[in-house]
Amino acid sequence: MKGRDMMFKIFMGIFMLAFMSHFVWAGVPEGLVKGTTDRVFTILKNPTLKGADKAQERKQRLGEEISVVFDFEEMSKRALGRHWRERSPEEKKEFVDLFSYILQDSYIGKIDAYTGEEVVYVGEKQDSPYATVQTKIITKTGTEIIIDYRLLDEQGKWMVYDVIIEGVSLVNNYRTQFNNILIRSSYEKLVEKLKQKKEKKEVSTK
Amino acid sequence: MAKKFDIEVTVGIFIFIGILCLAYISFRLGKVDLFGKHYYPVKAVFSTVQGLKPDTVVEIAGVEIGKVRDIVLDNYEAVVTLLIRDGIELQEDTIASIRTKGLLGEKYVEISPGGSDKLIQPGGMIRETEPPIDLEKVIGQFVFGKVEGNKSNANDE
Repeated sequence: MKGRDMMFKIFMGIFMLAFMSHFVWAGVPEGLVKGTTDRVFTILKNPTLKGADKAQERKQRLGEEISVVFDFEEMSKRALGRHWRERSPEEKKEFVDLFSYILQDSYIGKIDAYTGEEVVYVGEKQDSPYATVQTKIITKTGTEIIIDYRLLDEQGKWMVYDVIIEGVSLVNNYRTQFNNILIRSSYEKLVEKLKQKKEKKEVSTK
Repeated sequence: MAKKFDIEVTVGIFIFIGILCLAYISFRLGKVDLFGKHYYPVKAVFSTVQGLKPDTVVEIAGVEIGKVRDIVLDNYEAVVTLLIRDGIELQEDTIASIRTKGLLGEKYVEISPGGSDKLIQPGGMIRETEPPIDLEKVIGQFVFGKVEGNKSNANDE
């Protein structure tokens, strides 16, 4: 009798666990996006980091926050598309470095222009291993901008691999541009262009 | 007797050829794929499809590779079933976007191939999708955004 009781408890335990894990998983991607957004906002609102002379430090802090949740390798892979597989490991690494710099720079440039917009979380959709976190940015004038974050579960860690602003995918935008350059010229030309862009940015920020 | 028989045979052959031609034409016009091309289905979920209809072409780099089979509503989202020609491989990070030909032209589905090693199996799903850009909404936002923006600037001053 006792054995039976034990079995029942074990089964219940397993059942509960299976049930629980569902609840535990739900909301994780949204929490991640929320957490990062909150931390980004605290940096932007931090009075000691305000002003043009603190821009460099502020940008660095923002970059640190963003690179925790953004999977730049996955983004580079998706942005290069079919050309990714033709590249050697060294080329891939170089490309990820260049592309993440450009992405971070343009993204940070956008959030650095923050003027009191509000972020509303609309919901989250999960279809493991993928998830979408839907958010809305409401500007002071009341205009709504829909931003979806696409996340991928990589061995238990959710990472953002695409941002969709008003239905336009960031990855697809770069994929189209890169593809155009790659078809017309060569991979070396593309890297050269990205390097030029990076250098220009570095000069302008210094 | 032999002569009459010849005429009957000739007429028979002509009518037979006529029927064949008719059958061919009706198949061509009806776009029935009886022989040749084989397709496999792939699903894609869009937040909106706006103006997309069954039989719309699916393209990669402007080349037709399939068509839209049907569009159904599921959980207030549009689930589009695409028929992709056999032999065209779609990677897991393929992106499907609904685009417009020209400024006001017809809609079509543009597929941009990805770099993943995993392929989408027949009956699988394209996870990355882009809905059509709503030109009216964009214009609206631009116009209203501008009007309100000017107003708030005026208030600031």
